Amino acid sequence: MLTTRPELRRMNWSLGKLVVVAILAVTTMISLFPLFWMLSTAFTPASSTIKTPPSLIPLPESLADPTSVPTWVAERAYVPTIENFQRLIRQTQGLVWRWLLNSAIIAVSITVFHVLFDSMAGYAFARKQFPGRNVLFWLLLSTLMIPAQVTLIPNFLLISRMGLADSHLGVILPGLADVFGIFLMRQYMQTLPKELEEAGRLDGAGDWQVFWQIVLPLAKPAAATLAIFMFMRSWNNFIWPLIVLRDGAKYTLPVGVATLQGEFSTDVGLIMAGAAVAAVPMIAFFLLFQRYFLQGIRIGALKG
Amino acid sequence: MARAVPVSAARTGARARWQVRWRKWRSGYLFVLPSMLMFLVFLFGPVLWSLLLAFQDASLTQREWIGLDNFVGLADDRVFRKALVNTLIYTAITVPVHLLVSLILAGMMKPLAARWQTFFRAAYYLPAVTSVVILATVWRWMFNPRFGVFNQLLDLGAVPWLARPNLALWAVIISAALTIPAAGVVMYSAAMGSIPADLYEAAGLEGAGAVRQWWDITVPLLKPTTLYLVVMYTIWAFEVFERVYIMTGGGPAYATTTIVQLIYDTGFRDWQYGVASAQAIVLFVLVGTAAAIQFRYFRSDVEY
Amino acid sequence: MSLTRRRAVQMLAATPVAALAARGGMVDARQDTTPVASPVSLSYTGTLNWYQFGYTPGGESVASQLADQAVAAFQERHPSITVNIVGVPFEGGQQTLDTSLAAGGTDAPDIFRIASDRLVKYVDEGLAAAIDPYLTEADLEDIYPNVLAGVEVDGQHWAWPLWVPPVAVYLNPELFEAKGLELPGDDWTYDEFRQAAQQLTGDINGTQVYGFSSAIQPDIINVWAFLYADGGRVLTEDGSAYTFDSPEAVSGLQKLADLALTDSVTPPEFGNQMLADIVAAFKDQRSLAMYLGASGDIGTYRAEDIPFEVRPIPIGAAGEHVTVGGLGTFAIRQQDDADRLAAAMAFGKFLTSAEVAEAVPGYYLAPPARRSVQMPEDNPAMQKFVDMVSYTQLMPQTPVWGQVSAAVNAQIQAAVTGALSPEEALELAGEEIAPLLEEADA
Repeated sequence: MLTTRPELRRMNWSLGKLVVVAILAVTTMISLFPLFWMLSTAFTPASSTIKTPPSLIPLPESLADPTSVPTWVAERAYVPTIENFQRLIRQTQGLVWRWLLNSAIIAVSITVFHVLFDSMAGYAFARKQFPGRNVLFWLLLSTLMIPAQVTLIPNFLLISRMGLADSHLGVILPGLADVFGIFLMRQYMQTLPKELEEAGRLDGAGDWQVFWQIVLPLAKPAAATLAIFMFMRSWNNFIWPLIVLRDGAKYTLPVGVATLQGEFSTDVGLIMAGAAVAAVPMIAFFLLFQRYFLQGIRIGALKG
Repeated sequence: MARAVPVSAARTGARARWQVRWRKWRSGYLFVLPSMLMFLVFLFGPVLWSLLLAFQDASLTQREWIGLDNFVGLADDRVFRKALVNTLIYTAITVPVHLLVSLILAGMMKPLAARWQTFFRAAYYLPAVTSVVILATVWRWMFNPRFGVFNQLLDLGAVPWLARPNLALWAVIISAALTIPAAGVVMYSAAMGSIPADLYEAAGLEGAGAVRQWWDITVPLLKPTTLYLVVMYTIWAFEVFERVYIMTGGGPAYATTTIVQLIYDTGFRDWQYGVASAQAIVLFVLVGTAAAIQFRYFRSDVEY
Repeated sequence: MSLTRRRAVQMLAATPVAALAARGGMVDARQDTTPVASPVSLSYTGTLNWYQFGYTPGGESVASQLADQAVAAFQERHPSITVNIVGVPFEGGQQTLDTSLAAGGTDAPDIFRIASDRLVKYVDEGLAAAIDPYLTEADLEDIYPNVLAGVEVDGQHWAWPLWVPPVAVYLNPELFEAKGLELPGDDWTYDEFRQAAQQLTGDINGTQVYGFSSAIQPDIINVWAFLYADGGRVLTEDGSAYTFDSPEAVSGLQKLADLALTDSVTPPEFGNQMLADIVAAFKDQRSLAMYLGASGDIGTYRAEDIPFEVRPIPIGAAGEHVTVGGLGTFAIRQQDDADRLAAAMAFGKFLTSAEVAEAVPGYYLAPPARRSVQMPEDNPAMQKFVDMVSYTQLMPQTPVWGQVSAAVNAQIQAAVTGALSPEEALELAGEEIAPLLEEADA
């Protein structure tokens, strides 16, 4: 079952492979269901409550007549509409595009910084020798174990004193102090063979050249993973931008969408439409970077 | 490993030796420098500040030193103990399940053609663009006694999973265990991609079967990734909050209250920042102990 | 960890009692604002920061437009003042507000919405200013006495009362009709209520209908109405001691538990059913005949044309109408600039006045705190809630209110699911709460 390519070719379409594919298919459906549900709700006509059981079967208006379809379909069917999205744009007077842009600026800045500097730091922690390395690494790692809630207030006071309250920079800077990327890169770099670096050094390459020309290309799968994680993390971040930003035109998308929430009523369609709009850039970012996952190295090929 | 070197020696050779060492260490320091600057300002300061709060009677604007009173208070706190037990049970079950599922799914994907790997990776990871809120809402619906899929599929009748003190925590754990651990699958499959294929070829020539190869080559070589995942999943599990909060609100009768929910309520609702910090420190010690043990057992001593 | 849980709660579960008030759905088409000469002249020139929940900048939502119109009307009366509205979401917005107050400075909030049960914390921290110097004889007569008492701490008043959303019973008249039952009168008793709940439970047109349900969550006090109706009170009036272990309170909780455990008129998930699920059961599935809610749900039902009726809490052992409710207020930040403080006070008073109701049609989304405010007449359900204000019991002031409410509700959950007897449950809550109150007192 869990095997290498040549062997798999031999057992083409054997029972084992069918079982594997079946398991993968079922887990895929479990996994994709919430996404599907979110989209269905975003395209369902407005309501103040989430339907139970949910309406998941989109039917064109011509078919929506309850008599023309079986009851179990009719009970779960809805006529798709883009009304929620139209309301989202209208109710925010187009600010939603601004929020999208703000989110993109913040998420891209944070991601670029992390991919570069976490790779460097991860490389140093995995490979370099220097006094205090382990202490420093443990110190960093331990901060991961402190719930983020406890640093919100001191960070806000800091940002205000730096005059960065209500600015995108104030959102970005503390986002750069995030340890988990370093940990990720360190762990990955430990799996890389050392021989290539040594070969590079014998060829007279400096530390930076070895890192930039040999290590970083080898670490592409991990860097892509990190980029995707970081982008989603900062894109979805809600509470920190909420605390820092005051001016409606500077909001990020999640903060802006949250202000649409009424005091006494919920517009589920509107909120799901906002969530759907927010999902599109994340999906695009994933699809853009996921191809690097496959560029794992084959040491034999390099040697040959 | 690297110890600080006494600089007191003033012999002529010592200076030269020191310079050689420094040249060797320098690059390590330079590689971690950019990240460290950020941590120094936006992480260590705030974390230290909040740790000190644990020894104070601190509200929103006022504070006063009270020594260990906050910790003493926690020892008598029935709700805190309950939350501790709930969180430990949740962690002890979900972390191994997530690791195992990640490893198995990534292994199943590995022999597939590249485009299928891409497809499954996307299918597992893309739902991460939907927030935990949406995910937990779907699960809330699945456990609905009358309309939920869970009771219907298992033909259990109208079992009110989320409304019974003895069932609610298990419902939450089941929902977490059945959620595909996307980050784990993606990271394992990225790490598997970089295991040199010639290792398998060599093992194949020596007559090792698929399972043998899996156990002797894949699993040991994934150790650094496993360490990363086990530590991160442990941290995430200890900090579980939103999933539970949306499914049960922490109830009924504290059956699903978690530590981070208490920290959040104590800090932001009750403004008892000192007590909240003390709770955070207890959590920190727990996670830190778990991580230290994990680092021992998953130490990466593998060399190619 | 990102904290989207408040959004979640708002979206899926609850209208926290902290923000328990109602969109009455009475947005009038009338747009003519009649400027009234202001009696006070203010010497402040500059900006006031109004932190307003649920305000989307430039937004078309009802709440945003009402805020914009109220500001326009105030600025018309006081041209030297500019009001800057900072919109904060209901979810997580409390943290934005609190951190901004703590940070201070010129961008800090001058005026902000706050539920009366949180007010004392702001007073203790010196973040709220007493309104007494600005409170006139006319105000004292106009504001309901129980409501004014709701903003009193240490003999002074600390916020401008805006509105009071009491808890009442929502009924589905179609289900009553299907069972051939008369709709109850306003003076119905607990026994009549219980009987109706029993008769309404069962199959109606192929749907399993339950007679009664209510949300029981850490910050929602709706079911406490039963305990209050039998004469129970959660704390003493000064908030210094726990009294929900009284025989009266136990008897009220026993009634609630009986509905679930003896009569089985509640849905199986009763005890941890969330507010949003209850509204969905009432209006979408039509599987719930009666539930406890505040005035907020009126707007939802009117907007979607859902048939509903409102009745007061059935009269219990206390023998008279009693209910519980929240109180929405505007607090003013304590600051040294006397002119700015006076201007913020004038704005706070304006935002809670009868004047603003005239200038901004449909301004009040829940029963107003003042007798003088005229509510639109086309909303009989809202009128019923307005009539309840005079006997609504507001929650006493204690800095540990959040813990008190959470502890009581957790044990009520234990009682209605049969894990504990009502007596044990309320005693256990008391054991948790007593040390908190003692510490708060010290």
